[in-house]
Amino acid sequence: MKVAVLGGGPGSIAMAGHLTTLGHDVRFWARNRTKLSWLMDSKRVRFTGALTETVELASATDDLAAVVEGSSVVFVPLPAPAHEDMAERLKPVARSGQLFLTSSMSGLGSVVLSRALGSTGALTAELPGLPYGARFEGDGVVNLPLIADISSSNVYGRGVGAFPSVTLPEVLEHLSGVYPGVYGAEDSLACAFQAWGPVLHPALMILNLTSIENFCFWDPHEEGTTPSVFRLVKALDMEREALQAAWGYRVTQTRVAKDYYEGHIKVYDTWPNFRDLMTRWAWKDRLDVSHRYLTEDAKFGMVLRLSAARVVGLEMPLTEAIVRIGGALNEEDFSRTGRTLESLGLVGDKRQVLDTLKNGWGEGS
Amino acid sequence: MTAVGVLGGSNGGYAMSADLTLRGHDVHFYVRDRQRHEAVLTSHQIALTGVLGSGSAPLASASSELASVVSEVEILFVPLPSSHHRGLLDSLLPLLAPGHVVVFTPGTILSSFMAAGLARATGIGDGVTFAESATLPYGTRRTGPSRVNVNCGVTYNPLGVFPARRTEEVMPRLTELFSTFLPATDCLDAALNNQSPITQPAGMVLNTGYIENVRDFHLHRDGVTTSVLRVEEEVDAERVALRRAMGYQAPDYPMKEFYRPGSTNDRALFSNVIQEVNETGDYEEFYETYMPYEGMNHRYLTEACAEGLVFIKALANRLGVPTPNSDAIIQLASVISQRDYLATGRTPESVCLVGTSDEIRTTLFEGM
Repeated sequence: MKVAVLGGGPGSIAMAGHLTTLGHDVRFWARNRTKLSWLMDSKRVRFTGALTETVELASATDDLAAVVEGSSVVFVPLPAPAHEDMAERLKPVARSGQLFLTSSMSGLGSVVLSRALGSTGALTAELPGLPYGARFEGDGVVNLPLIADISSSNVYGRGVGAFPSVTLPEVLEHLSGVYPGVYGAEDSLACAFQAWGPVLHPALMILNLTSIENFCFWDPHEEGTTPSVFRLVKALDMEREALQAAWGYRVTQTRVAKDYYEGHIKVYDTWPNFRDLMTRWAWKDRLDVSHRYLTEDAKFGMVLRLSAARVVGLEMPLTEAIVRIGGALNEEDFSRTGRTLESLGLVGDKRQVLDTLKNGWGEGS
Repeated sequence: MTAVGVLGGSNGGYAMSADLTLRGHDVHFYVRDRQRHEAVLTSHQIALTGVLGSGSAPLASASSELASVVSEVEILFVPLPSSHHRGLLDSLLPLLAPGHVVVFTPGTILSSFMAAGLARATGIGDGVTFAESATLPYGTRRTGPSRVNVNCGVTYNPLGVFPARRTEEVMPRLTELFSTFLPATDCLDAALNNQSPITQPAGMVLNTGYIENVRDFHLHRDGVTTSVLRVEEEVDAERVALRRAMGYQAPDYPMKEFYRPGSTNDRALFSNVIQEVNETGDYEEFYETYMPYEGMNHRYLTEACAEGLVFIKALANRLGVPTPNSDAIIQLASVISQRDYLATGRTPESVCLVGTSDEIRTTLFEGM
C-alpha cells in the first residue's frame, strides 16, 4: 500500500521503517530538511531493538504534496500542539478518499484534521497513541524497543476513533490494509479517553519535580515511581474511568492500570525493553517543565478530559490539580490555553456533542 | 530573669529551653513521654550548639508532670506541632488560672483562638491570655538525647494576642524573652504570616518520588528548585490575597524572599535559611540518627497541610478568594498521604470562627 508518514521525531521514523519492512510503499515527510539531512539524503535508517536492520524508505522529503499525493493512508504522528498547523498545511494537498490519522494520546486530533480537511472529502481518524516507542540513538540510528500490536486490546482498548464516527467502516477498511485486525472505538472521544499518557506522564513529572531539575540521571519512570506515585496515578486513572462511564462509553482498562499498579513496581517491569533505552536517553535529554509530558499530556490531554467532565457534571479534582500545577510551572493557565471540546467546536450538551461526534457538523459547516 | 514554662519535648522545646536558660531565665520544661526524654528528666541539662552559641543549659526543672510546671510560672510556651495542641489543651486547661499567658510558637493556624474557645467552654474565665507567633523562633533539630542544634534563628516573628486588645499589656513581657516578637494586629494576622503551610506541603508533594526512593530528604536542602519555588509562589499569592481580604497589610513575608541569600530586610522571617542549613548540615545528621523515616506521613503534610493550608483555603473561599493552587496541593497531598485533609483538617468552622472579615476582626480584638 502507498502510505505517507509525516513528522520528524523518532516515533514517526519508527513507523515509516516498520511499515516499510511490512512491504508498504512508505513516503516520509519532515518539515525541517536540515535537521534530518541524514535521512533526507540517504532515505536509510538503521534500527536497533525490536527491528535490527537498516531500512530504506521509498522516499524522504520536505515536499508535502509529493508524499500525500496517491497515498491511501497519511499518518500524522505529531504531538497535539502541532496538529493545527499541520492540518492547515494539509488542506491544499488532501484529496477525497484519503485517510488522515493522528496518534497523539491527548485525543481529538481527528477533529482538528476534520475542521481543516472536511471539505476535501478526506477521511479523518485517530489512534489512541502511537504503537511505537522509539528514541534517537544518533544520526542515522533509531532505537525501537517497542512495537505494540495495534489489534491487541491490551494496548489499544477499544481501538481507532473516526471523526465523524459514521465513517468508521471506511476508515477501518483503509487502515486494515496497514494494520490488519485493527478495530474501532465508539467515536473519536471514546478513543481519546482510552489513552494512558495523560494519566501517567504529568503525575510522574509533578511528583518528581526537584529531581528532574537537579539530576541528569533521574528517570521518573524508574527512580521516581514509588508507592505514593502509584497511588496518585491509580486515582487519576479512576477519574478517567468515571469519565468514560459518565459519557456512556465502555470503561476500558489502560495498560497503565492493568500492569503498572497491579503488582508491578516500575514502568519498566511492564516494558523491560524500555529500561535500557530510557537510562541512556536520560543522559542526553534532561526533562524539564516544558517537556511534552506537561505541555502536551496535561495541557491538551487532561484539559480535554476536564472539559468533557464539565459537560456531564463530573468532578475530576485530581486531574484538575495536576493541570493547575502543570500550568503554574509553565506560567500559563492550561485550562484556558489547552484543548477543550469547545475549542474544537464541539459545543452543547452531551447529546449534542455525541451527535456531532457521530455525524460531524454537516455539509457546508 | 523570668520564670517560664516550655511545654513539649519537640526539637523546638529543647532549643527554647536551652536558649532561654542560657539567657538567664528560669525554665521549667514539660515533656509527656518519660521514656523518650529520660536523659533530660534525669540530668535537667540540655547542651546547645549552633548559631545562638554553645553551652550546657541547667534547667530550673524538667518534669513529666504538667501540673508541677504550670504552677511554677505565669508564661507558658507551646513549641509543639499544632496537630498536638488539642491533646495538650485537654490536660492543660484545667490547670490554668487567671494571669497565665499561653503562647503557641507557632499556633498555625489559630491555636490561640481555639484554646480560648475551649477554655471558655470549660468555665475558665477571661483571666487567661492566649497568643501565637508566626513561627518557631528557630530552625532546629535535636542531635542527641539531650543535645540540640540551632541552624538558624528567626529575624522577625509576628505575634498575635487573643484578645488583641491585651496586646500592649502582654507584649512587653514576651519581647523581654524574645526580642524578635513583633506585635501583629491579632492572632490571625500573625498566623497568616507563617510560611510552613506554603513551603512544606508543596515541597513534599513535588518531591514525592525522591522522598520515597531516597528516604533521606531535607526539604530546604534537597527539595527546592526554580520550579518548586514557582508553585510555592502561586500558592503563597493566595495566602497574601486572603490577608488582604481580611484587611491585614504588609509585611507579608512573601515566599520569594524566603530563600533569598543574605536577606536582611523586613520581608523574610528567617534570613539565610538555605545558607545556614547547608553550612551546618545538622539536619542531615538528625535525619539519620533521630527521626525514623515517616514517608508521606511526615508532619510537613499531616500538620502543615491539615492545620495550615486547609485553613487558608477554607477561610479564603468563605471570603470569596479563589485558591486553585492551594486546592491542587491539598488534593494531591490527600492521595499521597492517604488522608482526607479537606474533611479532617482545621477550618474556621472547626475552631468556631464565624462571620465576615469585619466580624472576625472584631471578635479577635474584643474576645468572645
